[in-house]
Amino acid sequence: MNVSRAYSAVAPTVEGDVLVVLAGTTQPLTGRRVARLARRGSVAAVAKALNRLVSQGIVFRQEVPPASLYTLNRRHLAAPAVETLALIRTELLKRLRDALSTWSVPPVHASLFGSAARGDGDIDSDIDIFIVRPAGMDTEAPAWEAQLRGLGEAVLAWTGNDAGIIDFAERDIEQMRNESPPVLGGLQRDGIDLAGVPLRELLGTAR
Amino acid sequence: MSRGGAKEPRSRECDAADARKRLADAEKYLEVAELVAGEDSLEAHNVATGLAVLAGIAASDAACCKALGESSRGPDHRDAARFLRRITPGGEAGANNFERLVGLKDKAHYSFLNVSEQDQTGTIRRAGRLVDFAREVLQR
Repeated sequence: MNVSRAYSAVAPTVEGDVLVVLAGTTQPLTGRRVARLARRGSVAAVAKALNRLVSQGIVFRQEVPPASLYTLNRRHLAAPAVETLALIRTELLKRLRDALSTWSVPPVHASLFGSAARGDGDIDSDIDIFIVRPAGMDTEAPAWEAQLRGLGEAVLAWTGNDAGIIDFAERDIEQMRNESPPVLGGLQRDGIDLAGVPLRELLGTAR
Repeated sequence: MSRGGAKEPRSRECDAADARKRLADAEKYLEVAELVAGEDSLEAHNVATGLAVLAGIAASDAACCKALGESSRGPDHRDAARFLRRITPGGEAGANNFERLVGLKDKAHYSFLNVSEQDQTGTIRRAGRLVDFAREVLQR
């Protein structure tokens, strides 16, 4: 799945991008505004998609000369499916948080980073997760390993993508701060907290 | 669309990059508000509350830029609440939160009255909810 356009798994054309924009607001939008907010599609392609969607009844067009304004028809039978598609990325974060909250050995910290966090990956991108295990917990401890494996399997099932899990020892955080490897910048810039101590506190630096 | 009734609020166009910038502002305002709130003085309550309000305004801008491609430009913060309300889902709750938050703005920024510790705590909590909402909208 392309996490940056997760809805494209089932709505791969520009119509999908247009519907997701319209699902995000009750405000009538011009075609140009829809094109600007959409993750993909030229103004012309978006205009064609809007016309097709209007003919299907899922989008309303209101003429306010010289403009045409578009809204999602939330009473359409397909509207709930569109609203669900628009929040797939939010659902991924929720599932990750829910899964981590059930761990018998809770992580000190967990966050999503990389392309999945930035929203610019593609269909083959890993879902990168940074996890800090508690002091005294060996990386090969069966309980800990089982949790990581379970999370990786769940991510694969939910998205079709591999989870790229960085399993980090709590005691090595200080060293990471000092050495400032590339992953630190990525975490500071794009990281999305999933569990435990927030990144801002963990890394002790401004994000 | 009916063009009658309430006048359309003044707005400025903005995009996802602006949204990220305003969210970063909001997070920083909130961080400093929480820091100042740790001080036990009447002045600290006013300043922390004022910063929390700024965090909420920046968070509102961020969410609106991402979902609507525009944010409020006018001096009336009720306009910003009108924009927030148009974000789905979550905009209604966000707007209610925002209206309560900016209700304390004048008292914190310009008044000779002091903000109580209780109001300070409530304002920071509301600002935190707005920042969370903006983060969630940006992650959609």
